[in-house]
Amino acid sequence: MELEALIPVSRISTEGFRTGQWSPRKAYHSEKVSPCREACPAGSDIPEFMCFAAEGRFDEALKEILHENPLPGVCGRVCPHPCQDHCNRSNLEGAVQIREVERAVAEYGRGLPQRGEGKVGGRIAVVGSGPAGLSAAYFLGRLGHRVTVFERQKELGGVLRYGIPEYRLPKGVLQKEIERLKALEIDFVTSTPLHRETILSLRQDFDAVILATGAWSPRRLGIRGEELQGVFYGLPWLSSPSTATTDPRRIVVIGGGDVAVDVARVSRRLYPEARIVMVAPEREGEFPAIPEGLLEAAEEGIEIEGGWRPLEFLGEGGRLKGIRFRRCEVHRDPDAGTYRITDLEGERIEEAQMVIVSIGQVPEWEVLPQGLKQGHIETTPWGETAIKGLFLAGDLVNRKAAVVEAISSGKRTALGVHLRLLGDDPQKVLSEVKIGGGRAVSFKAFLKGTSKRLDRIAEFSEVSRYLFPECPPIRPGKLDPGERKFSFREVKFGLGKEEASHEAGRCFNCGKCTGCDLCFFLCPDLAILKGDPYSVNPDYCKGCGICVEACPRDVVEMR
Amino acid sequence: MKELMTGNEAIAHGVRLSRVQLVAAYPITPQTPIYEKLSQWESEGKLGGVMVRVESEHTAMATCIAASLTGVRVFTASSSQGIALMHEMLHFASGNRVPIVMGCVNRALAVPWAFGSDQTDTLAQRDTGWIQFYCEDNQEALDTVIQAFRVSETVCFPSMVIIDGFYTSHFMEPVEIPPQEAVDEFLPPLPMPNRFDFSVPAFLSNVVGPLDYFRFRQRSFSDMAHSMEVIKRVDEEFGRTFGRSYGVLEGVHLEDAEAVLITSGAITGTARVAVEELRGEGFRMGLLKIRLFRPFPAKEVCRLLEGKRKVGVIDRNISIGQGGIFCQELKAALYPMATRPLVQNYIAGLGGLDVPVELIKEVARDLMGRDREEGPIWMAEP
Repeated sequence: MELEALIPVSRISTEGFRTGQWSPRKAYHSEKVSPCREACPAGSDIPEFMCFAAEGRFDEALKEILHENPLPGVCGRVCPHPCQDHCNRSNLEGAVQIREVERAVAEYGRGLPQRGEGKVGGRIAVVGSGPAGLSAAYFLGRLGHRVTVFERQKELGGVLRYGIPEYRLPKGVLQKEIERLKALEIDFVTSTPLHRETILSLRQDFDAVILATGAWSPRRLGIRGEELQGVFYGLPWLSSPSTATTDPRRIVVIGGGDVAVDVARVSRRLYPEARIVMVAPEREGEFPAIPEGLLEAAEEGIEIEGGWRPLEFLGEGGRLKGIRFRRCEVHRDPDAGTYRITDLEGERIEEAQMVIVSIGQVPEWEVLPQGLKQGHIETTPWGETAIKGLFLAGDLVNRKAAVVEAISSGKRTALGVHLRLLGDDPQKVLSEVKIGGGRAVSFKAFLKGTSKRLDRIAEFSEVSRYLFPECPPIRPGKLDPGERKFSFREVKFGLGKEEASHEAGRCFNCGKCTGCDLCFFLCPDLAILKGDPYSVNPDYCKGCGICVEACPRDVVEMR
Repeated sequence: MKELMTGNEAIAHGVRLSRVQLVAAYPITPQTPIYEKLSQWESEGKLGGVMVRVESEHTAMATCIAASLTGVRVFTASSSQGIALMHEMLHFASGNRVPIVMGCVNRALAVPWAFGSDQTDTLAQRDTGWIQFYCEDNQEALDTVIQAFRVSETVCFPSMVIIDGFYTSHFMEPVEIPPQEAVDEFLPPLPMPNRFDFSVPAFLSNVVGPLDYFRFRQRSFSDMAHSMEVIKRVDEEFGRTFGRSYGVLEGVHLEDAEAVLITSGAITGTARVAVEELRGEGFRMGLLKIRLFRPFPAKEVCRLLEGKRKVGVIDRNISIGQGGIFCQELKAALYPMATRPLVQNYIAGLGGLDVPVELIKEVARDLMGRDREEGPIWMAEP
């Protein structure tokens, strides 16, 4: 019996039925920015590199990070990781340890950035080889410009080498990152201090000059006794701590920021027997430093005391012997970013043979070109100044002094210079590659374009957790506090390869299509097209929304 | 040589002898012993095919349809709520013209819950396009399974082989198990072509336009009508091979009968005894057993009841709002007759209630004394 006379058999596809005509509502495949990435000043595409890291593909993960951040080995150690504070997983059993995975990727991944084939091969001078200068040089090199970096010190790295101590950022790690940059054929000129006139004259030989000289002038207290022997200042002391000649019994560190913490911890290693106290006007628990660093300082026996401000350094025979403090409290205005200190009842005198004042640092305006208004420089978001051909990056423009902020600023300035040389409007172009509501811009999107919606954030409420079983984070171990007193060895251990992959596997990959194909398999109308990127065929999408509900990563949405 | 066995076991033997390649079923009282027997044989390596454990009767039938479409011989069994749950897929089976054989063990439908025999579960599926055999005893059940495969695979319709819950399913009777070689010769491997040619992908159960739909239904109707001849021929051939045949109808003492009782299923056996006793008492009673319900043997019924004055239909089933279902079908079949007999409907044995000889004799006496029809008469006690 002829089968097809008996029963209906279709040898055409369901394409005959244009179910898309049933509804004006349609699903759209639209990759978004993860909240961690929005929070990252460097704009690292975290869900992307997590995918590779989870599969143990560290070379590809490194390549992904290097699209946006030239210094993953540095950031993997010293970054205050705002990404982790915004990780969607932090709503559950704990944020993905993004910084630790980044460190592992830098450790295990191999690969070099590629010099770009720019249409405009400009000659650019970068002054300063700290994170902002290196970042600017890196991105300009990738855009095909000839870059010369001027560094006043004997070696490259700026604050990374001369400010951040070895136990947090080993010099070998820094050197590895700098070596990677050399693939971009950047000329590095060291031991060459520049000043006001030489900086401006650079403009004769270069199409643009980027100043990334950082903030090296310590803020002073302006109180009596600052001239006494035994009074030091944070960053200068950190860059050459051996100048401390006394053998103090009691050391007082004034300040509650990250530099103060480092100063205290370096003192601990240099003077294991001394009693070390950190004193700041803020209450304990409200110090501006990264809490992790404060915790580690406490583990190392450093006393932390808040609510006091120094009134006077007391001396004897020109040497410091004590400090007079006044009880106080700090009132912050988080909206304006300002604070005010008011005195309370109570004074005391603290014995000290050494005090290191670490209350912040400012740029050395006195050696920089005039017209860069001290303390408040008017620049564009890409660091362009009123002086033609002169751009700024890093601490010269940033409000927050963090390595990752310097990298971010260096990237924006590099793009600004590039666009100016092309004759394009940086304001317009940069706004197109801006990531979410932050200041970060995506270099990858600028270079290659993207189908990702950079202005949309994948929200926690849209992430379906049923695919993600509970899984606590892996936190790496630390050097025993007792041992730390006598050693500059790195305190924090890294993750092993398998641990790093496991931790990366905890990432929801919010906003990223991982090709899980739930939408593809659950679509009743076969309307999901598995291209790169995936898309939804409007002829067949009848707007049922199954794919939107099923997508665990807030990629598919209904419009 | 005969073996003592229940009706459920007899059906299982029929399945085994038919060399079924796939069984997908879900347990339900009183059908479960069929499932258990087949599972036991599967685990002992005696079944030859595979059992697919599923989570519902709906899935059991869906599995059977899919497997049958690939050209393998499949069987399932169910009762009552299970058959009701299958309803949607029963249409899919006949619409796809798959030769599935299903053992059905009649059981009352809820609510209220009950376990005894009641044909309403299978009769409610009369419009699904399945062939339906109502078997009187265990031997007939075994033989009908083998016949049903042969019929279904010839006409491309699925078949139900139906027995009464507990009366047939759980009562033991001596049953002759046909030799495997003879069954193999009678029922060769499934002659279905392999319906899936991977080089020419196709989709089944697809949407068609209304005219195509109309034509497919028309084709099914005429094919089902033509299957009557196949069913008769297969039964006759079975008789020549195995010495037993059943017909689509069986008449008892019809030649001189003035009044005829119409029965189906297990009640027929009791009715045979009642009719003999009544004839001994001087009443010219006859009996007509309806074995095949779909396709309904309308012409055959008219021929056998030609000239009879009174007909009493005993229904162990009820269509609320109309009456016994066999009676409705019979009346419709008799309508073209020039001189129609009086047809009185009797409802008996619902929910597994016993229908003893005396009750059937009561039905007969009522019929004999009756000169006009009325609505169904409910007969619970003699």
